[in-house]
Amino acid sequence: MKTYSVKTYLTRFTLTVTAALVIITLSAFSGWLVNLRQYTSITSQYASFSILSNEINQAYVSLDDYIQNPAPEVEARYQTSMTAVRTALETIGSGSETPDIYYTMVGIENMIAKADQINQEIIHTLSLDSFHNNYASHRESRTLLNYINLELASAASLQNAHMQTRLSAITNRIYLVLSLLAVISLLTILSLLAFSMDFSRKISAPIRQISGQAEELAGGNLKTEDIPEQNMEEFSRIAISLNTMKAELARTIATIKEQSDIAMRLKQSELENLRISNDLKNTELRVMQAQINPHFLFNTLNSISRLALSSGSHEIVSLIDALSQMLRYNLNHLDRPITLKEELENLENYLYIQEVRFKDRLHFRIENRSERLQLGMPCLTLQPIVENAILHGLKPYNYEGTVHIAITDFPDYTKIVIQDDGVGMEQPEIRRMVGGTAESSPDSVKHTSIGFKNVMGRLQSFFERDDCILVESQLGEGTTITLKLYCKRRDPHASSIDC
Amino acid sequence: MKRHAVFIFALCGFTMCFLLFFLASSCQETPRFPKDMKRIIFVSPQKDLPVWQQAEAGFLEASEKYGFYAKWTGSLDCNLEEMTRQIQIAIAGDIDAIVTCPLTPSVFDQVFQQAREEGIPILTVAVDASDPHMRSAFISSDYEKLGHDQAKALYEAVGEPMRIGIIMSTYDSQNQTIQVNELKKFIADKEDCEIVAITQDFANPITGMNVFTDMLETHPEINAMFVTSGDAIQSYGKILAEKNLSGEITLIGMDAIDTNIRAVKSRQIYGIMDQDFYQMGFLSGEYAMKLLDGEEIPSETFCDSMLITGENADRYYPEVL
Repeated sequence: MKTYSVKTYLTRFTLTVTAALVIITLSAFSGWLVNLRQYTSITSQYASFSILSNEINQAYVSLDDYIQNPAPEVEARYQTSMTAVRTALETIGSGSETPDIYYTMVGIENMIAKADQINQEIIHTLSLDSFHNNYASHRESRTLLNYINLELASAASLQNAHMQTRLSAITNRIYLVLSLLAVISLLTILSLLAFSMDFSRKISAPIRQISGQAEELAGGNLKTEDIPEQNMEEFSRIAISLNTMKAELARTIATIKEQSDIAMRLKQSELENLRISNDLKNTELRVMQAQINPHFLFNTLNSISRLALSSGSHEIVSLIDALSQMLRYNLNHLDRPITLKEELENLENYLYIQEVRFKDRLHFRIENRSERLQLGMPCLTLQPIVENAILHGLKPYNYEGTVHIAITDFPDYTKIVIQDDGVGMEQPEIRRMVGGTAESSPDSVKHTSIGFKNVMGRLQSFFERDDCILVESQLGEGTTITLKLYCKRRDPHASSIDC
Repeated sequence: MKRHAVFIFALCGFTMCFLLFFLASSCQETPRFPKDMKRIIFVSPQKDLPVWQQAEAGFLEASEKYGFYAKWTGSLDCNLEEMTRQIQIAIAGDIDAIVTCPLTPSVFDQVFQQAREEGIPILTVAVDASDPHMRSAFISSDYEKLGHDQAKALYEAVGEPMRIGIIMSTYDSQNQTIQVNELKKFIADKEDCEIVAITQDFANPITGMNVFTDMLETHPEINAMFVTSGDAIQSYGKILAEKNLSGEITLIGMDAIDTNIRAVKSRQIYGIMDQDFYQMGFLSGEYAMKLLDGEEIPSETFCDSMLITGENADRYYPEVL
C-alpha cells in the first residue's frame, strides 16, 4: 500500500485546487480578452468603413473647394482626407475576415487609386490650365466616387452581415464559456467536497481504529487483531508502534507466566523430594527394624529348640529347624540366584512343616529325576507355587489332597511339573492369574495372582524367555503348573549353569 | 473502483478545463487573403433564379478548382441597367475577368468595349454579345437545336391542326428569338400549323399569369404553347389545370427547376427543355482562368439540353417530389 504523509496529502490538495483556480481564472480571463479583442476588431472595422466613407466624400468636397479656390490649405485638406482614406483602407483590408469583403475592398482600393490619380492630375494642372479642360476628368472621377460609394455600401452591408454572425458567435461562445465555467466550478466544488469527505474518513478511520485498539489494550485484551497498514504515514507509524507494543506486552506476559510455572513446578519438585526423603528415612528405619527382628527371631527359635530338646520333643526340634532353615534361606538368598538343589531343599523344609500341620490329609510326592541340581534359578520359585496349590487348590477340600512335583531333564531345559488335585480353575481365572488385572478379583485370587505373577516375572527375567511357565487347569480336576528351567541363559555373560 | 471514479472525475475536470481554455483561446485569427488572386465576376440577369443558382454553383465549383475569387452578382429581375453598372464598377475596380449573360446584347456593347479597352476579358453565357469579337468565349445551350427539339416535341405531342401560342421573356431576348425562329422554320412546311399569338412575360410570373390568361381567352383555338421563358411555367401549369385545359393544351416550357418539374410530374404541362446551367457556370470560370493564364479556349461552347416530360421526369429528377 502506498503511504504518504498528511503534509504531502494537504500539499497535493492545495496544489490541485490552486491549479484548478489558475486554469479557471486563466481560461475566463483569456476568453474575456479574446472576446474583447474580437469585439474591438469588429467595431474598429465598422468604424473604418464609416471613416472611409466620410473621408473619401470629404476629399471630394475638398477637391471641389480646391477647384473653386485652389489654395494650398484646401489641397492639404484633400491630401489629409486621402491619407485617412488610405489608412482606413489598410485597416479594413488587414482586418477583412471574408474573401467577399476583402476582394470588394481590393476593387474599391483600385478605384480610389484611380480616382486619386485623376484628382491629383486635376490639382496639379488646375493652375496651369482652366478647369474647362479638366471637366471630363472630374466627371470620370465623380463617376468613380459614385462606384466607390456603391461598393462601400455593398462592402459595409457584407461587413454588417459578417459582424452579426461574429457577434452571434461571440455571444454563443461567451454562453458556452460561462456554462463550462459553471460546470468546472461545480466539478471543483464537488471535488473539494469529495476530498474533504475522503480526507475526513482517512483521518477519522485510523483514529477510531487506533483508539479502539488502545482501549482493548488498556482493558488487558492482547488478542485483538493488529491494526492494518494506514495510508497516512503518521497513522501508520502509530499503528506499527501500537502493534509492536501489544506484541511485546504479550511476549513479556508469556515469559512471566512461563517463569511462574517453572517456579511452581520447582516448588512441587522440592516438596516431592522432601516427601521422598521422609519416605527414605522411614524405610531406613523399617530396614533397621527388619534387621533386628530376624536375629531376635532366630535367637528365640534356638532357645525354643534347646528347651524342646531338653524336654525330649524331637518333632518340635525338627519343626523349628525346618522353619529356621526356611527363614535363613529367605533372608540370605532373596537377592541372588540359587541352584535347583537349594530351592528343592527349601521346598522340602516347607513341605515338612505343612505335613506336620495337616498330618494325613495333605500328601506330597517329589519325583526328582534330574541330574542338574546345580542348575541356576531365581530364589523362592517353587515354594510360592506349591503354597498356592495348597492354599487355593486344596483349601476348599479342607486341605485334603496331593501335590505331585516331578523334575525331569530335557536337552535344553529341566522341566518341573507341580500338579495338584484340588478344585482347579476356569479359563477366565487362569487368564487373570497369568496376565490379567487383579482389580476385580476376590482377595484370595488377587493375592495368588500377585504371587504367581511375581514368580513368572522373575523366571522370565532370569531366563530372558516368555515360555518359562505354563498353567493348565480345569474346574474340579486340579491344576498343573509346568516350569522350564533353561540350561543356558541368553546372556552369555551371566553366571550359570550349563547343562 | 473508487480510485477509478476519482480518476474519471479528474479526467472530466481536466477535459472541461482544456475545452474551456481551448474555446477561450480559439481566437479566430484574421485570415490572410492573397491580394494577387485573380478576381472574376459573374453578373447574372436574375441572380436568385434557380437556373442561375445552378450556374452559380458551377461557377463557385470552378473557383474552388482553379483558385480564383468568384464574385457572384447581378440583378434580381433582368435589370439590364443594373447589370451594366455592375460591370462598370467591376471594370473600375480592375477586375480580372467578367462573365455575364447580356440578355439584350446591344445594351452591353458599351461596357464590353470599355472592358476590352481595359484589357479585361468578357465571357458570355446563354446569350452572346452582339459582336462575337467583344467577348472571349460564349458558353451556352445550342438554342437552334433546342428550339428545333422543342418545336418537334410540341408537334409530335399535338399533331395537326396545331394552333400555337408563344410566350417569350422579351421580344429582343436573343436566345429566345432563336428558339422562336426554329419553331417557325419547323412548322413552315406543315400543312395545318399556325402561330396564333405571341407575347412577353418579362420573366415575371405575375405578368406571365396575366398575359397567359389573356392569350387563352383571346385565342381559345390554341392547343399548343411554345414558351421560351422559364420563370412562370409553374403558374401556366396551374392556370391550365384550373381551366381543365391540361389535357387539351400542350405546353412545353423552359428550365428544369423544381417547381417546373413538379408541374411536369403532375401533368399540368407537357414538358420542359432542360439546360445545363451548372456546366455553363463551371465552364465560364474554367475558361476565364485559362484565358488569364494565357491558354487557348474555344470561342463557342454548347452544353447539352434535353426534353423532360412526364415520362422521364422521375428518372432524371427522382429527388423532386
